[in-house]
Amino acid sequence: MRFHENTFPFANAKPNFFSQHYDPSPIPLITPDHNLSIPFPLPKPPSQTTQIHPPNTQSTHPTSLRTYNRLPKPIDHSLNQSLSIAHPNPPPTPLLLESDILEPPTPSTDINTIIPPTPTPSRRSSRHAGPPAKLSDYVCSNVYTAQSSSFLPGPPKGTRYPLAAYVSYHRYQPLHRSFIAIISNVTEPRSYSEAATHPEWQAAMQSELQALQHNGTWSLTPLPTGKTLIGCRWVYKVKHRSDGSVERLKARLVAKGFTQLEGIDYQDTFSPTAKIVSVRCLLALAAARG
Amino acid sequence: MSPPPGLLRQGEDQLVCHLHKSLYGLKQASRQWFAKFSKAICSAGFEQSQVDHSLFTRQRDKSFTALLIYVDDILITGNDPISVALTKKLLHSQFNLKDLGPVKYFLGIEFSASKNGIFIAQRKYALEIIKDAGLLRAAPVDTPMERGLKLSNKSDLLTNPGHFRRLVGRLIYLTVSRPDITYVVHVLSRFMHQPRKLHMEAALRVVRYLKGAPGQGLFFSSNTDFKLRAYSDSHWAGCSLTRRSTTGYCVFLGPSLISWRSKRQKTVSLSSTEAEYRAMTGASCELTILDLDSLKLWPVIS
Repeated sequence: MRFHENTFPFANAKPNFFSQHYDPSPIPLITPDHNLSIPFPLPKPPSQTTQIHPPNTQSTHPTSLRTYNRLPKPIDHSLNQSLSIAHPNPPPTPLLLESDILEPPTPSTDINTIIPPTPTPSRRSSRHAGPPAKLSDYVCSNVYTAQSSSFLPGPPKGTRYPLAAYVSYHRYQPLHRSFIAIISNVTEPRSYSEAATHPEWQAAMQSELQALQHNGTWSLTPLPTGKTLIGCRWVYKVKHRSDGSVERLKARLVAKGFTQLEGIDYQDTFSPTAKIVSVRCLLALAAARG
Repeated sequence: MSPPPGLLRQGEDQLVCHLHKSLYGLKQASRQWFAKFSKAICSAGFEQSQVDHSLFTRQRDKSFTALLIYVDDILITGNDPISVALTKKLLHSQFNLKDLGPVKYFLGIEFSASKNGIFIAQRKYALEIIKDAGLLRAAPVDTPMERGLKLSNKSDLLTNPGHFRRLVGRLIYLTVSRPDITYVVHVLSRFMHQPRKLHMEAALRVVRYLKGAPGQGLFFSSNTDFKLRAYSDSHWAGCSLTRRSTTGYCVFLGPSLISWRSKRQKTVSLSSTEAEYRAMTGASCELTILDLDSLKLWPVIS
């Protein structure tokens, strides 16, 4: 069995933690106390290990506990409780710690034996190497293997006409370049359910509601008979400063005016939209001013 | 109005919001806002242009200030920095607005200013069109349209005409800074009601042309003599389906292009002379609008 060390979700573990093998037994020792049987998620150590030793530091215990909490599988609720109790105070596992301490830590010379031997560079498989077939539906400008470009003569595989070859920014001023890089980079939520998961957008919506109530925009009443209700929705916008950096996240409450009927709900409408010709005239004027 | 999500507490399910003031999204909201704005700005001595109601100008002796409003975006310029600053101050006192400094991004157009002039481009917009058309990987072409292409209504109808309509609609907005695709976009937009397969191919060719240089735009030089020049041309019986002719004109202010058009004429011309005269009429109509007196933009400058 292969040990996929890089994909294992230990984000904040010590760097040398991965290089050493450990005994996964400390954690399962908790479970028999609570009569729980869950599949143990940690990968088994490789078969070529000759020595298996328990973790030699206390810091590994909280890390493994956190991994338990992040498990995508449905875990019994009582386990979570027991873990959350166990997490703040380490004493639930004093026996293990004692045994850890009693047992002398093994010398770290076995690291060399654990690392799988690097394949010899002389032999290379004759299998055709290329980008995975699942990527054929996507635009990947940089998907080409180093093998194909170095061994086969001719143009590199991948996109034949990468967009990067046609967009050039070198004529812009550096300030403008950074500006367009930033405005191309942000995304805005499209719906309330999307935004409600982010605390920043929640705060934005809260401040908008407060502003509307402060202005006395509405009062809450029961619906009069014979009137139709106008819907409303949230619109989200990222506001930029003039240098392009994000100034704030703005949530705006809008009424769904398309349900209004002309003559009943409203009389006249008008929008001050400038002709694009006058915009260009103004620009020509502004350019002349310098 | 129905209460927004997140407002109501428990037990208030039956209540609705009774609006006392205008809210974004209501049909009359923009009118209310413009009425308020124009009242405020006219009391400061600005005059509303009769050609474009969203343009306001003010002239006092030598100082000249122009203000353009696009719904809630305002552009201010003038030959007198003090007057411009005073106008900003006035707007700040009346409305809660934000000064973004020199214009950089307005109506989806990117502005880049230097001492030689102002450059505008719709680079981001063009890239979005390319991306949404799924042609990021396609080879660019050098021309927006095949030479001498006559689009007929012979090929198969598109199963999803909305796709074509949306694409051409976006291309129409892209012509704001791209005069080079004006002709082909105007040809394509004739088929909006009944798009066919060939039309879609022609539209995708425009997108591939855009990919060749998405950042292209217009340059407004600072070295200008404020003289309006217009050029017009016509294509007799250019539309093979109706035999109507095509008008084309462009108007320059000094060296900068400010207005252009490609449009199929309303009536059938029997001779190319007739078609030319109609094109000249169109160009002179545009000149009348842009004329010095009516737009009130550049009497003081020259």
